[in-house]
Amino acid sequence: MFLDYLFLDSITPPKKYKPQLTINKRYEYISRSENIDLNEIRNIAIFLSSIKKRHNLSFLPIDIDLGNRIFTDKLSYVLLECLCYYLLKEEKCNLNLHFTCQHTIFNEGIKTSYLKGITSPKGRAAFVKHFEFDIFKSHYRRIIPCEDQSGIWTTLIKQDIDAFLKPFDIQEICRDSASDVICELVDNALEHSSSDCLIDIDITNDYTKDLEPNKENLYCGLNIVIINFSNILMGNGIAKKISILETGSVEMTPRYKDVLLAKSYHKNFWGNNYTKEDFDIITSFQNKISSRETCSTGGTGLTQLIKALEEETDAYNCYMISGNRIINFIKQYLHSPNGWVGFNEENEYINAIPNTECIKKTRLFFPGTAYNLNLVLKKERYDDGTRN
Amino acid sequence: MAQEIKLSLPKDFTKLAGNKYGKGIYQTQVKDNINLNDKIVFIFPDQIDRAASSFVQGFFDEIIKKIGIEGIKSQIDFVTNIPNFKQFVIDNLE
Repeated sequence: MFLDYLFLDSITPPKKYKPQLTINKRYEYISRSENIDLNEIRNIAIFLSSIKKRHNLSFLPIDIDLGNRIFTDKLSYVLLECLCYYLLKEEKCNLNLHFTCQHTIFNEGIKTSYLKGITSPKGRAAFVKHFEFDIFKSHYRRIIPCEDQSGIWTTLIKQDIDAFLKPFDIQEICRDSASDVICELVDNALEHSSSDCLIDIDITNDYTKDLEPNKENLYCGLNIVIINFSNILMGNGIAKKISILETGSVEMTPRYKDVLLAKSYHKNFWGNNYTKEDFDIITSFQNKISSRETCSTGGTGLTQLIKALEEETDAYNCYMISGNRIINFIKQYLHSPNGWVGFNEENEYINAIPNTECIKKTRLFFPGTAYNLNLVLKKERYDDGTRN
Repeated sequence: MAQEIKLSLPKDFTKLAGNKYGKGIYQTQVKDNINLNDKIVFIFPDQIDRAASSFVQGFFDEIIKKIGIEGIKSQIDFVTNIPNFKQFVIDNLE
């Protein structure tokens, strides 16, 4: 089930925290945050978790008032959708959600989110109905089941996404790269975590770039979120494999020998800002490195794919969160001149640690893995200057 | 004379993706039908126009263990509408 490892259960409210209860016996959360970001999602989760520790979440009505805010990115509002879906579907809450928000090219999908309807029975029903599957106009949402023994879903998704993107005049090379990245991430998630995976894509209206004097070029945003709730974090698999290799009982390729060399260098720097888990995560992203035990291939190199996508687009705010670590995919740190991605200025993996901009700690502990990819793509132009 | 292996895939499939799916196709359609000492030509249905890296890696996982990348370069060929497919395969396995 998709929500088996929702982060509600992994959050411990502070000891003295009491969820606000109004005089007419309703639990109320009022956002005081400037924006709705992952920290604010965590605050909402703390509020809900503290209610859950007292009694059933359906015991009293719950009102969440976010005011007039900006969702900093797509992942923030999709995680809010996950929380609301859990409350409505699993806990049968009487939930009301109030907000208005300004949208940008990076969170434009909020305009069509069914979150806005969680103020009435009809709106709640529509939200639940469309959570697991929705393909309408510029929005694509699907949950991929993990019990896919044949592995056929990944192929179906690739076709699905290509067909979804086609009508938007996105260059074929971008469509191919986008669907490749999504399929690779989903394929990895389904295989390594054994839990369901949510894909959400939205395509924005056309924009022009302020800095371009010639406004003939049109751009659109391609915003992608992939969420996989699980008790397995990014890097867990590769950490196990490295432990086995270190025993010397298994033959290893020269590439894995280099990983052990890198580990012996990196461990000198492990501390508060850069941890062993961070090393495991960046190693997971390397080309031709896989946590699959019996696989001699694999490890396509997610960074290679993301980098390819970034080369064909302007990439903004592309990151992955797993546990309490965030990995930011910053274009200039994704080069791999010697076949390794360093996540640093030196473009060096074995003998240099990642830049602090690339790896950070988050206050939200995310069980599993989630990706937020905000991309800006140039639209196709035809030879006669027209578009479809 | 090269062995020809014609892959059977659903008619509405135009793309291939997924490590598990690639392994599955190899197990069910290829493994017991080839002699890795000889040249092999894999024939893909005409409607397939793209394959993802994950599919290639799953499909060739056992083959590369047995004959290595040099074996794939010298013994394996393809009839397919996927452009530059052999080079794509080699790039993803090397």
